[in-house]
Amino acid sequence: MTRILVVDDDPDARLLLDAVLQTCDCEVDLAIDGRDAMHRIESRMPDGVFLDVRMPGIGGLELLDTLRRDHPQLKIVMTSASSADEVAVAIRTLGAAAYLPKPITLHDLRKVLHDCLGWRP
Amino acid sequence: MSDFRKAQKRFVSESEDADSPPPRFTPEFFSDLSHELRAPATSLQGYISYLLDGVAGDVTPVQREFLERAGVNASRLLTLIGEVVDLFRAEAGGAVSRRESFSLADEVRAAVGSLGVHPDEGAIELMMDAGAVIWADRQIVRRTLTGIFQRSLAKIPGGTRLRVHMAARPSAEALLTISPTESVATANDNRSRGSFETTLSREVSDVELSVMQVLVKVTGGRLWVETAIGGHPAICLALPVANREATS
Repeated sequence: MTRILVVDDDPDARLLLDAVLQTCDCEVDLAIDGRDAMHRIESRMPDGVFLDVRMPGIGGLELLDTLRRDHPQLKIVMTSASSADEVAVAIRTLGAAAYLPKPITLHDLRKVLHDCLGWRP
Repeated sequence: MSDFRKAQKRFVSESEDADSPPPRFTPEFFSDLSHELRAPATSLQGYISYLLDGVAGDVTPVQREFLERAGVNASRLLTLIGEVVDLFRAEAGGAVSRRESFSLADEVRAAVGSLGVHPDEGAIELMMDAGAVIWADRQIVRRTLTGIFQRSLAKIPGGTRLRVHMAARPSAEALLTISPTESVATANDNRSRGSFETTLSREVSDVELSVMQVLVKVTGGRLWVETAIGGHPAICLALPVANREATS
């Protein structure tokens, strides 16, 4: 079973991804911000992280940079409600496995799970 | 410094000098405003989309129709939020327009694709043989096109399709005409043969189009509505082509 950590300060976004990832037979853990995410990763390493760009405190891009350095094997999928092209460019530059603009469609979610984490329906 | 004062300094730019210009909202304010408004609308769209995909169980045909309508309106809301935030930003004197050269036809196809409509399925007819490369703010153009298509698809009369016609003009503009089939697009064809009197109105009469009109102007273009005798209104969008602007 693929273990996914969802990091998002928005409870609605967490709930939605949690429910949908569970329908894909993923084991889901939830973090409310960057600090919470780092604690959860240290205590139990997931296969992949779904990380929101914009969060208070440690932002998504900052956390992506840290995780890429400390855990290079970890697959990190960035999510964002921003429509700015700069966000996509920054995410690519920092080495995320994929970028999913919100709202995330079921098709795109499954494709990313398959391409980045070897998930099969 | 209090939290309120810190937030105020982050969101409002002002000087202690009595002769200085009036306070202005900072770029951070508009960035946060955009995020705060977009987040719930995006969430709404996400939940609707997953319900339609059957993630929470089967949906009946009636439920599907209701959800699809809710989804269309959530998308429109999201587009409107982007436009209104850009408008506030422009009104506050902030930089809105970052121009670059890009293919207008590609943006039209991307905007149509983002609505989940395939041109071959009949709802939209694309007539874009002219491959104009324009010089404008891509975000504004993308949002404007999406907004126009959303509102036009919601309003076209039964039995008609939405026609998107693009042509390069002698004045070095790319002109996009979006209209139901058999409407003012035909009138435009007549006009080119000398029938100017077919156009009755060039007014933009609603809030959403007015917002689009201001933003298009900010990026060097023009937007207006033409209503012809016996025809449906057509939305016209003129944007500067790249060669002229880039070399001037």
